[in-house]
Amino acid sequence: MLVKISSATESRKVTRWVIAAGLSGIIGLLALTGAWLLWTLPDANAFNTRVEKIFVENDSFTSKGEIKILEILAQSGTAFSDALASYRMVIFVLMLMAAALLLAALAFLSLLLLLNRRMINIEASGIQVSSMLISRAENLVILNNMEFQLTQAAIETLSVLAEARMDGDMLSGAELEAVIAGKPAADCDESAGATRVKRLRDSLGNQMVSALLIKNVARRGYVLAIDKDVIEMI
Amino acid sequence: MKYLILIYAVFISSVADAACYASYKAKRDDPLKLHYGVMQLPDQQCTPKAATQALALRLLPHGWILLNLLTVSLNIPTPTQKENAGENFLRY
Repeated sequence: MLVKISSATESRKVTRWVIAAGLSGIIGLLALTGAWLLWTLPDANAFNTRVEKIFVENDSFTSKGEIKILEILAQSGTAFSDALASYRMVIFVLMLMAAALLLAALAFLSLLLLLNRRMINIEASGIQVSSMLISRAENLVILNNMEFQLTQAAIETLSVLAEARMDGDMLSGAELEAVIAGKPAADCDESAGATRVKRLRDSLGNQMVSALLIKNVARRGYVLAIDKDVIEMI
Repeated sequence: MKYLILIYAVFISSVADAACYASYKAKRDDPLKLHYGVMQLPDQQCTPKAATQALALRLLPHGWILLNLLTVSLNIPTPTQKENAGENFLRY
């Protein structure tokens, strides 16, 4: 039976697509609103056409004084429409800024959601190694920001494994032993390599657990380094 | 004297026959200017339709756009019309 698998990268792709579609939708809506705003605001001639209409519709408006008053009315309307044009500019700039802020807020919100999801993943997976620094001179390995002191042999094993990882290789026990001992792999024992790995695990695992989980407070005792709310007994 | 009256009457009637007066409203854009005027037209153009065309054609070279035709008649314009038209009385 085929099982439907949804991988993390796939869901991330979908999320990215949703975000892109949402953002472009918002931008489109804002652009439409802006165009509508600019389109529907009365233009400079609106007042003139209104005055002209009044003049045409009233046959009795023929004396000099009445015509002069109508002209003045049109002029004041035009002056007002100039002010309106500047208002329109101001409104438009404000709208652009508001839109930019809105988009930024949305982007940050989605970023926050993504980060949150990643945090949950990290918390669930225990330790996530984001940096590993091996100092062969001091027999020291620094994982993230935790320092672990290892033996010479363990550092050797770790270094060989790290080099193999960087090359994308996988080592068998015999190959591991061959690299460390400097002999051909055919002459090496599989169990010798396995023993080296076991020692490395024991040493590093012990130190890691004491740093992360079972802490030793000097002269006071031992304590679990976890939140007490997360403990459950069944 | 009789002749004189007759000649005068003929003259008056001939003037009345020969001319048609149309009062109209026109505008000019940017800035909006309005005007009321009276124009004399040949009497074959004394119908509203013909007068409208003639008025529009005559006003256009001076930058005026005809808005509407108010009256068209063979009668001599009234003093009120003349006063209201002012400088636009028979100007174009």
